[in-house]
Amino acid sequence: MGFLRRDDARARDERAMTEEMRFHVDMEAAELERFGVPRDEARRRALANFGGVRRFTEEAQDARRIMWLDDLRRDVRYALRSLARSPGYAIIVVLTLALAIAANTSIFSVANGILFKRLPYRDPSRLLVLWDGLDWIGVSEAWVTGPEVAQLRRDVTSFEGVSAVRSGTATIGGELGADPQQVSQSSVSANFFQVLGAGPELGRPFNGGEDAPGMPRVAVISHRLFTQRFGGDHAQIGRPVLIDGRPTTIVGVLPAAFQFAPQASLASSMADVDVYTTMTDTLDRMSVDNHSLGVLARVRGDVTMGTALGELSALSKRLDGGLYLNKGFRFVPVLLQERMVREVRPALLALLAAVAMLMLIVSANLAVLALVRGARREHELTIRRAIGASQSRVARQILTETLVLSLAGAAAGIVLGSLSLRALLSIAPTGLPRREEIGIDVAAIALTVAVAIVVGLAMGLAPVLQSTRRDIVSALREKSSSRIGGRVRRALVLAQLTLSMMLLAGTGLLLGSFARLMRVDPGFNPSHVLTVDIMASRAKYATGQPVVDLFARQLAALRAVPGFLAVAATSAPPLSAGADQSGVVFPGSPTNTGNVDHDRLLVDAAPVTADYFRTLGITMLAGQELDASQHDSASSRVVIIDDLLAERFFPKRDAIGQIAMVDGDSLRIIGVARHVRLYDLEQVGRAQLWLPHAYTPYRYMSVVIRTAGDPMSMADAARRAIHGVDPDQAIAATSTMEDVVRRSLAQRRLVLILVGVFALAGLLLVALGVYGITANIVAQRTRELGIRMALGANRRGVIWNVLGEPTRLVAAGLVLGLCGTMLAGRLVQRLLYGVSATDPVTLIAVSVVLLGVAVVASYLPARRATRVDPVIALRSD
Amino acid sequence: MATRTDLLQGTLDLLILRTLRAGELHGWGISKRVRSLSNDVLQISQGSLYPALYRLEDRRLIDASWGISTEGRKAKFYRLTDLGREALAQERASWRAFAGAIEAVLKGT
Repeated sequence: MGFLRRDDARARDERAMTEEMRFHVDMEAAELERFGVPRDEARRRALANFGGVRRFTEEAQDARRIMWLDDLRRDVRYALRSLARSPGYAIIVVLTLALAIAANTSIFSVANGILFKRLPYRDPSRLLVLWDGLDWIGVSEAWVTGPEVAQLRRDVTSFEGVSAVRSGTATIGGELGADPQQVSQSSVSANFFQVLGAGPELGRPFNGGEDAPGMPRVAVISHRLFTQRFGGDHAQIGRPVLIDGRPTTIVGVLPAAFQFAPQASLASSMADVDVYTTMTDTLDRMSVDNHSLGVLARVRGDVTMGTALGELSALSKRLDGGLYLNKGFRFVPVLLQERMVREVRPALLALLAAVAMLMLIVSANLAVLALVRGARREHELTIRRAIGASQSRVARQILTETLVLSLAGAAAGIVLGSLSLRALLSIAPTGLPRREEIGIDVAAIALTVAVAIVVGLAMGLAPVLQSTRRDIVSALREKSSSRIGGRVRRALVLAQLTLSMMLLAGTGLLLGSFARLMRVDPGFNPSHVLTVDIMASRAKYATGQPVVDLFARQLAALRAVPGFLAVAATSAPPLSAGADQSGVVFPGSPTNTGNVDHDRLLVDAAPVTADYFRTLGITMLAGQELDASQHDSASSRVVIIDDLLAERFFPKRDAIGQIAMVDGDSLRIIGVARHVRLYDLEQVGRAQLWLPHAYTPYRYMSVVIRTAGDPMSMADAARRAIHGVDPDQAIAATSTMEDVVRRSLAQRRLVLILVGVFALAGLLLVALGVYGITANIVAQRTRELGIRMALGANRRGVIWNVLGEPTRLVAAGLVLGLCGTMLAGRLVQRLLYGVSATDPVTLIAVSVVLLGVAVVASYLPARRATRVDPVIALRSD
Repeated sequence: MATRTDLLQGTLDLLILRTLRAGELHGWGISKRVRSLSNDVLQISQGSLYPALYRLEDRRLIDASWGISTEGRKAKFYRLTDLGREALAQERASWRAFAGAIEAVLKGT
């Protein structure tokens, strides 16, 4: 035992010390006996004499020598020894903690990397993304027009720089025989990298003026493209390559970690841009109706954010009073950091909350374990107190022991956590924003250690409360664990029940949302559909008919492939969010009021080819879909609208043959199709219309192919057919529509799986807690139950009697958990779909699950109570 | 038991060293010797005795080894070291100075 002062220079054998003490007490008792004190009394007095002063001296010593460090070392050694004596306990605690801490650490690392870490740009808190707020047509974040960007540069002096960004795709290579490659591309103002405050690691950023019309074309490329396509060859810098068929000089290469994605969810960010080129449009000459530019602005360092926003809103007012005719136009500024994480934040916060709850459940569980261990060691602790170890001393030793355990758990947890973080990142959707920056860093380790210390203290506190509150005499008298310990333990299990209920409710709600989303009819049939993104080369096929003809040839070649049942193309397949927005007016609609703002609607518009609706299984509700007769711009002044438009503007179902004015062009409605979810499964999205490709000859199209067999296995056949028409044809991506659906649910699935795992783990721990409580009750009441049985109580009566307390505990936990769920409901509400956070069905189902588990967990030990043999029970003590 | 006088801080070391000057003793023997030498006035509480012994041992003022007590039991015996003898002389001198000073003050009033 380590309760005596001992110098480290000459560590004494503690058994020898005990022996010396025993010798002393024996001698004292013998002497007392010689004076006529009865043997037992003499022993007791000798012991008490020894102990009573012992406490005083210990405190005196503690005060005299400030040797807490020394004490700490001794306590740690004591803890290690005492743990070595019960390795099972130590292993269970360390493992449990390691698992919980690993979960905690990896989730926190993700959250920290995405939500809290500074963006890797110069002074990122001064970066704003600007949008046009066009609330009168229901769009609060529209792209900005060219003239507005020019005006922002002129009028808002608080901005150090304003850069326009337009994202799209480009073909790199081709023409000269080099393999053409479709890449994502952004054209940006020349000041883009200066405004962002991050730039190339090789070569240079764009120079001022390189975005003027007629300047030689230059590009900055991503590290990925540089290594994959150019083999990391530095000589490429300064050399021209073909981008969209035009010679362009690569002037810089971005670092591998560079990322600029102004919007992202856990599932998808704007694809990492491979090529940045300069935007050579003259902003002032762009159309005032063309909302097509993303805007990044940097507020000057010597100006407050308030001043900048004031200037911005003044300009908003001027524009609103001018061009926008006081319809309520405003610029909508959003901090870049906020914008980047907006879609992810609720999911990550919910995950953080879930993992924190699991951590609390684990802590409570470990505290119960420590309590049980404390009860088993009560005898040892009591003796140590009887021979004078002060309460604070014993408390410190218990706390040291639990801290040693929890820190060991933390160390194992960090190792495990870095592994599970890697696993987490590998199952995380590919579009996870700031992925490169996620790792176990100082912050994560600091948090882990902090958590471990708190857990260790919490774990130790329960047995300390139990041991120090009891007076020694009564402790020596009884053997079983005390009332206080029981109360602490019940409180811990109650806390577990509450938290577990909340976790389960969260899981139930997420599951319900997921199930509902899976049942959402997206408006099309995603099974057996292959998509192939291709882009007609700008150099080979000038705009207009050549592009239309190329796609017609491509589609014809694909139709000839055996196993391809239907083939079509569109610029915006479902769930791609790829449509353009157009204003539409129906002059023949009976619902028109004459007020332009009411009658004109902003809709999603996309060009499609013949057979599009049949290929994707989109129901035609009236009229017919496009066919081969719409093959040129003259014959294709027709449009297909969705049922949202048809119902709003033609309630009498007479839309066919009516005129739709789309961006000023009058087109004849030839069909009404079912609305298709264009953004994700959750949002209905805007009303839609489809235009013939021949009327809107886009060069970047997704070819959709309905296949007889597994679509992915036919991807090569599709590629061969496309290259049969034009061997230089760049193919950007092949995918299946089912994958697209899956990807759109990826974030939700990830959150659901993680929260579900946490909830299950929590439930298991709660079951253990309830089991333990009941078993404890049974053990404590063995004798009483034996008497009851002997006196003829029936089994059921005894079981109910034993179950009474755990049942009350579980009921209280359920009620508290429900209250907690109501309070925390707002946290998850944003993650739910079609379910309210207080959905009674879910909450009842979850209560039943928890109750069921608790009943089983308490019934098992309760049943044992009825098997008690009265004779044995009466003899037991 | 006789009246007890709390030991002044620091005097315990002096008493232990003094008791050991005659030869080696085990802890119990030291406390008994102090009690009898002081006519049962001074009683070393056992709880302070052992820490003090270990402290003195750490300071190399005393030395310890296991032996067999007169009762035939295994016991730990302590004896003075040379360093301890020096310390005893010093402590005794300073104690005398201290006691004399107190006495002078008490007589003075």
